[in-house]
Amino acid sequence: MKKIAVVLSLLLALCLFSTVLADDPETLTLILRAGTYADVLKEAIPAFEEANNCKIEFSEETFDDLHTKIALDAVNAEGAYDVLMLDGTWMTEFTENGVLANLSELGYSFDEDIIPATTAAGVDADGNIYMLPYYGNVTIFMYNKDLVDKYNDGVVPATWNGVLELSQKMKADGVDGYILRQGAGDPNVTDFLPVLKAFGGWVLNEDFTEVTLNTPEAKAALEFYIDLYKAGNLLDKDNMVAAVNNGSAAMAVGWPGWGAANYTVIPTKVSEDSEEQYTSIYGCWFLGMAENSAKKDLALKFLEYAMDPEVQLATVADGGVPCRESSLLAESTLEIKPNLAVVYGALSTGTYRPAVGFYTDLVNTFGPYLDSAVMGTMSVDDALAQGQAACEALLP
Amino acid sequence: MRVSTGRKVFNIVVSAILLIVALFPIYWLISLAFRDTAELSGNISILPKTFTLEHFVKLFTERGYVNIIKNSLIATIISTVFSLAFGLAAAYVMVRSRFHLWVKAPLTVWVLLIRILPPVAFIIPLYTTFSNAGMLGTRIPIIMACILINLPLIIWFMMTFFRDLPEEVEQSAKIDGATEFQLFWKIVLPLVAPGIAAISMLSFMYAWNEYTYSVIFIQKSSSYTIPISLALLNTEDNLTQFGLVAAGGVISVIPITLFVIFAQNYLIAGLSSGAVKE
Amino acid sequence: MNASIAKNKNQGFDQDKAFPHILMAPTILVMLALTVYPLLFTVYYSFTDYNLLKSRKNGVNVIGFQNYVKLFQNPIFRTAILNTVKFTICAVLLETIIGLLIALFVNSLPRGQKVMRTLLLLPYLLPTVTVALAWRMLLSSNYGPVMQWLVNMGFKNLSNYNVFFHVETAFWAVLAIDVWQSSPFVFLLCYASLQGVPTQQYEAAELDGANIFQKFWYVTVPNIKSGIFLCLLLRTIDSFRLFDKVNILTGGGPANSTTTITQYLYTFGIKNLNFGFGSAGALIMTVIVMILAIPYIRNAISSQK
Repeated sequence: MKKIAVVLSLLLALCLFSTVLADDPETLTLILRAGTYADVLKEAIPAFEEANNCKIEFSEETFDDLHTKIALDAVNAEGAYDVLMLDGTWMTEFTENGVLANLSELGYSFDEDIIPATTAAGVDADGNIYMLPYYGNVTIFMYNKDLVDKYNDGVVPATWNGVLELSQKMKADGVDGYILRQGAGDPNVTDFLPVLKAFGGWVLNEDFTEVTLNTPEAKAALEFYIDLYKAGNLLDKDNMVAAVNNGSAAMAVGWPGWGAANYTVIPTKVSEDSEEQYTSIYGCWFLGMAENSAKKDLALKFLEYAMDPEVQLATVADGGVPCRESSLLAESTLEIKPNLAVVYGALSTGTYRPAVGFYTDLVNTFGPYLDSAVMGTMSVDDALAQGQAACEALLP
Repeated sequence: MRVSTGRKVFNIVVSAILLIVALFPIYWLISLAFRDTAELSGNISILPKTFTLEHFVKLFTERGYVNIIKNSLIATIISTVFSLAFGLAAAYVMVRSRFHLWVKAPLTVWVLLIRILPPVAFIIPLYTTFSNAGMLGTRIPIIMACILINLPLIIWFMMTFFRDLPEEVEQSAKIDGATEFQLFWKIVLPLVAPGIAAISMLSFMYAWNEYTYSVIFIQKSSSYTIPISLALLNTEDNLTQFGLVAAGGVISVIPITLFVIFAQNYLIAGLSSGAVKE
Repeated sequence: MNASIAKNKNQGFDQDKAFPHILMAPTILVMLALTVYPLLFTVYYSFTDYNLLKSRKNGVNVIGFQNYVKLFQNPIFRTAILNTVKFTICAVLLETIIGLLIALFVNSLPRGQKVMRTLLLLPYLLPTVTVALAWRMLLSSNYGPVMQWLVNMGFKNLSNYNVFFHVETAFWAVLAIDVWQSSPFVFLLCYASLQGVPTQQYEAAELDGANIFQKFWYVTVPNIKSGIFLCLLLRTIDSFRLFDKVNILTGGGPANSTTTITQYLYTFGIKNLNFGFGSAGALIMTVIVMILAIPYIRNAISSQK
């Protein structure tokens, strides 16, 4: 009994001891989106640690957990996280509720080298900067070169009708043409957005006061999207990239970080003579600072360092996609990553997903209806009408 | 026992099918962990063509697996020890009618209820509490969560064991002058050793595999546990690195497999003499 | 010396009185702190519009039963309940039958029982996260052997088929994986109780001329009844809480065919920070689980008396 008591009290002491180990004052904590986005930033950390004599800790999260954890930590008096990696769609929700520090007040301003279109999502109506575009994520159109050579003389279709026709031609031969990305919520809604946009539709109206999912444009887009599915297939991200790369499928919409062998800009029109739309969807990763950070000075230093042109240029070799003209169009960049010219084009003419506080809810709500329509368990009309109704309930 | 040839063939065939179904996915996990990245890029053959430790090396050098394993072990061991100590004590008092405590009846029902409630019913208030207490950066929340999962199970499981012990043994020991503490420690506990072995194995396993609470409570990569890091390897936005995922999966299985191989006789004995005979 | 003996004796007396209190105290404290208190909060939140971020500005407002009404009106929540019930019934039945059959088979083996039971138990020991990932790799259309094998068998249209993303297969795939993982648990419990069946009973039945099925029905079943009952209950409770597998493999899709209650609450209660709404859902689920578990609780309480 005594022995056990000793062991137990030792364990308890160990347990308590770990609480006492308070944070070193010179420790900066980052919360990042796991993947290339975090990896390229992590590469740059040692130099900063050395220059500023500090230590940097970080936490890497999946998309959903990143959002949840930033929010959970925001209500604490002193936050566990100082520097945050953020999705563009979280801006409104986080600034409305005091999660993010106002970087303009702290003395930050954008330089002209940063692609202007990418900065917009991080600035509020009064011009205050909250988020800095760090990783230039924008949807692109992946394709299999051999299949496009074989079935379309090497020409990647420039219109969505062209994509459908080519897919149907391939399907007749037993090859999947276009691949839809599956996963109800953010994955499938983001995959659908370029098509919706090309047909002139969108999720919300311009001032975000109305849901516009039950419209003739959205209906035409969804019917077209289902036709694409019939001429192809649907897959998760990993298998989708593998399928396009190894030739069991020909085309899909994806992100530059996925490692597709060939990609280009997403078709901007439905047919030759329809109106051109900005169909590339931004998914840039931003950096920001927690309002409840106790180390704002050091955090600001880190943000400035991470946004530095030299530092950003250095991330290219590891898979980084800076939102800087100088980095994307540098000779050294185009030598190793010629595709980044495509990204530069898309970054300059993309569309933001609506920056409303309820965007995350919106995709989680609409995703299953979109899914049901594609799967055929719901008619297009029902899915859009019910999806519209469910999303309208989210409007403030 | 006479065994006909037909029966022999039947035994072998059925055993083979069972083993293939049960073990092939595990074989697949292990075999992927040791193949090189080039081989894992698609159309993977059943038998490996290459052998490499690169994924394991990468986990330990780049992903901090030394620390992750340490975190998992500490949380698992501490929580298992505490839940066992608390649970054994409570279960014993709860089944012995000579201890009169009014909380016994409500606690019995409550413990059973807790065993069946979904974690979502607790997770947010617990997070708020730990956060207000400034404990989120520590190991305490994870340890507490594992105790919360295991304590009801241990109490419930051990109650049946204690109930099966004849109380007369205790009475006679008491007449010989033993205190309640001596009685419990020296006489009662050794008698239920198989039960303790079985339940500590199950508790260890539940704590080792804990995911739902950890995903909310853990704040820094330096406190990741194995299930969390595994889930993260899988959902990165770039292409999933199957080699790493498989290697992490293999590591996650090692301790519990060792445990079972060495303790399975106790496990079977414990299970057959205890709970299931209720 | 004398004094110390007297003190010891005195202490011994006190000790005995204090004994049950000391033994119960930690558990009661833990239960109060980790379960009673959070649960009270959950009940309170369920009647409010508590949203982690929005409530910082708007405060937490009591809104009565609105969350509950919203939940029951929500078609996806209703689908989630149906899926959960369907999943629980299928999983529990399949796992119990398969686990019992395996236990009977292994128990009848003249040799190799120990090896068999160790190997067959392995699937249950894997962390659920690992199980989900292993199966994802196994069934992946580009990386896994199963789909490749099917394509080679002539099902050419399956070359880009992901079983987790089509309504026809997703639910059954998740179910199959759960059966694969949890049948060994049933097997273990049934096998353990089979070990406790006295051989004399079989011999007596054999003398009476009972055939194999009669022996099973009249000797085996009564002896392992409580073991099976326990399996049914434990598996019901665990299946009803199904979350990790669904969250990793399908995220509730396609077309809501694999949404479970916990998955739904995670998406619309935790992920979007609507804790009031999530709490209401958690309580509804609690009530359903309690109804399911009444026999289990009654059994446990009555056997205590």
